[in-house]
Amino acid sequence: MSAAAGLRRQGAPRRRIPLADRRVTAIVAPLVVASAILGAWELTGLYVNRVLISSPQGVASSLYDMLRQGTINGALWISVRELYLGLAIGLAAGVVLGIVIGRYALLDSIFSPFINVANATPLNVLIPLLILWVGISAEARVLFVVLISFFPVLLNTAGGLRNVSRGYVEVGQVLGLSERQLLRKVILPGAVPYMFAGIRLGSALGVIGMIVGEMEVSNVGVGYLLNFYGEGFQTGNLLGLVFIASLIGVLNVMVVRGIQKRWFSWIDAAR
Amino acid sequence: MSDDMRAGAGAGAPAPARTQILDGAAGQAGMLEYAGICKTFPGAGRTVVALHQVTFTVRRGEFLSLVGPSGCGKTTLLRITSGLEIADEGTLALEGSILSGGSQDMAYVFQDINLLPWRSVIKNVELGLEARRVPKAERRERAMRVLEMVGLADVAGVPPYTLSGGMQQRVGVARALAVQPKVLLMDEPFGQLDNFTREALQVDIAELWEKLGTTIVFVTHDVDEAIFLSDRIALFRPDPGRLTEIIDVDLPRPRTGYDVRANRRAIELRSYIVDHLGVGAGRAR
Amino acid sequence: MAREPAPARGLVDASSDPNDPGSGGSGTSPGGIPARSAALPSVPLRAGSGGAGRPRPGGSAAWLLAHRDPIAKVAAVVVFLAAWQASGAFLNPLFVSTPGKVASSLGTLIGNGQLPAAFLRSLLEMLGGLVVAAAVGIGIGLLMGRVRLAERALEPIVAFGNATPSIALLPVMEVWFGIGTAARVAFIAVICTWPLLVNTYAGVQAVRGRYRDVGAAFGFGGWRQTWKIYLPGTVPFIFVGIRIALAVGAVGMILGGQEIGQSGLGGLTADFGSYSETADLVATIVTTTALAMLLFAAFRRLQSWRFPWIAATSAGRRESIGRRGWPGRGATGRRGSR
Repeated sequence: MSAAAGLRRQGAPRRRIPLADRRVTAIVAPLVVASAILGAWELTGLYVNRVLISSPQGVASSLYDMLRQGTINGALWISVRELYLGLAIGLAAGVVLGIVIGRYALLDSIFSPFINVANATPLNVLIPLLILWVGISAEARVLFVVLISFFPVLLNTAGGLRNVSRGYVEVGQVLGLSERQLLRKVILPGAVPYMFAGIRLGSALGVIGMIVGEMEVSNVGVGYLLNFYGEGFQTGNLLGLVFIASLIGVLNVMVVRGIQKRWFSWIDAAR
Repeated sequence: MSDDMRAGAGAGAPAPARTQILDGAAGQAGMLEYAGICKTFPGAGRTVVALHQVTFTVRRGEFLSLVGPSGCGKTTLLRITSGLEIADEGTLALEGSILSGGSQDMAYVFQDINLLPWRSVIKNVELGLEARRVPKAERRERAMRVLEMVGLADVAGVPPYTLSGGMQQRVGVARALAVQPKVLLMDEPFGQLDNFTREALQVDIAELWEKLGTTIVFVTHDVDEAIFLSDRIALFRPDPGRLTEIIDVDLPRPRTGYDVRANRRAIELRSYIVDHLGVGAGRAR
Repeated sequence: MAREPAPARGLVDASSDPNDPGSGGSGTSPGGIPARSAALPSVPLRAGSGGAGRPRPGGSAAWLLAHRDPIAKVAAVVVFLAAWQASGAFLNPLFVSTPGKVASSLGTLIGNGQLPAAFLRSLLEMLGGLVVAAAVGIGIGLLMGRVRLAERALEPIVAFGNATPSIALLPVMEVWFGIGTAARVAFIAVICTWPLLVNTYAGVQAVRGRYRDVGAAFGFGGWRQTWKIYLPGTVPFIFVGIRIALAVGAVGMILGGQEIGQSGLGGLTADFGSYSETADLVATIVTTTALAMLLFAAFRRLQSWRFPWIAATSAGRRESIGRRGWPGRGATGRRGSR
């Protein structure tokens, strides 16, 4: 009698779950990789100029100092304020004008060459021009955030208005909705998922715009500080600040997602 | 339009009575009159003649099914009736008045159901009433009444995507009935549903029709469904899409009281239709 | 960058209304779509009249109407240029200059080689960064998609990295790579890696869902499976990633030129800006736009050469807003016909 047959007699043998699928792996594996990266980083610092590379420890302690001493609080406050002001204007304008352009084909024709060009161009090429117009100022930075967040929202809203599911529109038509009613009750709500996608994109670009703007048009704010630390080779502070910048990005994503969940929960379910 | 009976159909059994296709003044005013409807679609490389010279009358209060394989134009005809498409040629009249783009006295039930996801169930039902500018309180009342009719009064406030397919289509039917239409147009309304749900809804529709007496034009490719529900069945064939004949379904009503599928006459009808439509399966019988 | 393509790109357009001069459905009452049926005067639809007799203007009026889309576009551009030129009369040319001056700047700068050199440098840096990003991003994306262990290990790390605004790493690149081409190329590479990675990964996941057992059933080993089944299925997603990478990478290309040394088109803008030479600055901006549009055009060409169907569905949609009115407009009867 083979061993296998002997095993079988004891009832079904327990299946070995492959390493990759176990629940534990989800936690352990990333930790392993992260530690490996951090460890390699630490080691590199031994051989390459530590000033340039810094180390996990160095970044952590810089972060701690920065937070404790409130060095960056002022910069953060300015940056976030300008970001949200710019986003408020840019996103709102994008939605409103997107609806207008989606509604009136003629306006769409007239403006589409300009919009397409603007959308293709990396907008930070306009920054020196902005500086000529309004100087190195908060206005310039906010304006830049407005510009960079505006176009994706505009395009997605206008496109969304046209791409509302045909079934919904036919329901409205067949029930006898007037043109205005159709717009208000079917087409605008139907375009909301697209608007949201545009808003997500626009706010991500807005964060980029904020940072870029502050690198070039500022002596305050997170972007400026990044440059400052970079030029001073304060790598620990620099990387710590980068970490904080990524938190701003994550915060943004969470805010948008939260808004969607709270007021527009049907978007995910319906798609 | 050939009125010839197909050889070999239901050998020996009396053929289904074929009604004169254009009813004219048969004593009963026609509800919907189609005359010479033609519709062509430019397709990829070739033009599709969706409908060719379709002429017939739908009687007041009857349940008429349009049956045929895919591509024979029955859905197109329904869409033309509702105003979602416009015929290239021909006229369509509702109670004597010629239509050029649908009517507020007709309602439509879609195959894809198409409930608006951003509105609750009851607000979906109210949509047609909003179009007719019915005041708020009355809207709510009428919508609730119709939801009760389809048995969904207790989910009035939920978002539609939380409901099963069958329940969603019931809401679709409720939405159509809320505007108290004279004609109800249904485009393969149960096509997306599983068999069990479909049968339950067929019963529901049959009962609703008995109760309300609305004229119903019902598109389906399911012959059994048509036999179960209809007074008459209009048979369509494709290439070009055309109406070949309308037959009477002379089975006793109410059909919910017995098993229609086991009924001899129903089997004869079925085999006649299937043969007539040229879809293979019936021939062996 | 956003992981899923924006729906305006990512959704098959259900309403394939051709470019019909969208002046509403024919024969419909102005306030609503379906006309009321009660007591309508008889409107028999004559044979061949198509959608119930909309008056057809004759001759040149008809031509204008049919071509009003491109005419409007051209007219808009012409009016814009004319207004711009006229503004030079009362606006300080410092602010926007004039088309005339900009054109002559272009001539000068192209003639003396400044613009062409900058153009080339920026282009090469961009492509260099893209290539590195593609190798790393697509490579890791495929790895994560195919090797379950790698996926579970890397997913949180990638999520975090993707959320980081890569732009913020500009000073870091400068510190690590010095002031020079290496830093700029590295910067572009870092920016472009994330969209490529994320979209490739998404692509492999999608293929995995659909074709998971096909390759195994045919007896392909791991590598051949990846090559023959996963890669082709993932390519449309990779293209979406490239599209996003181009957009964000271009920002990095210019920024790098402006901030890390003064090189390429970015450098020229910083230079002209600081000397308030508006005409030259605008000329450079125009050239940058040209470079960007060239990159996108090349991308679309490549995509339609190998995968013509993609543009018809997702990625191509976002750029062209040459579409008409509502899906509902003219839908009463207009489907498929003129």
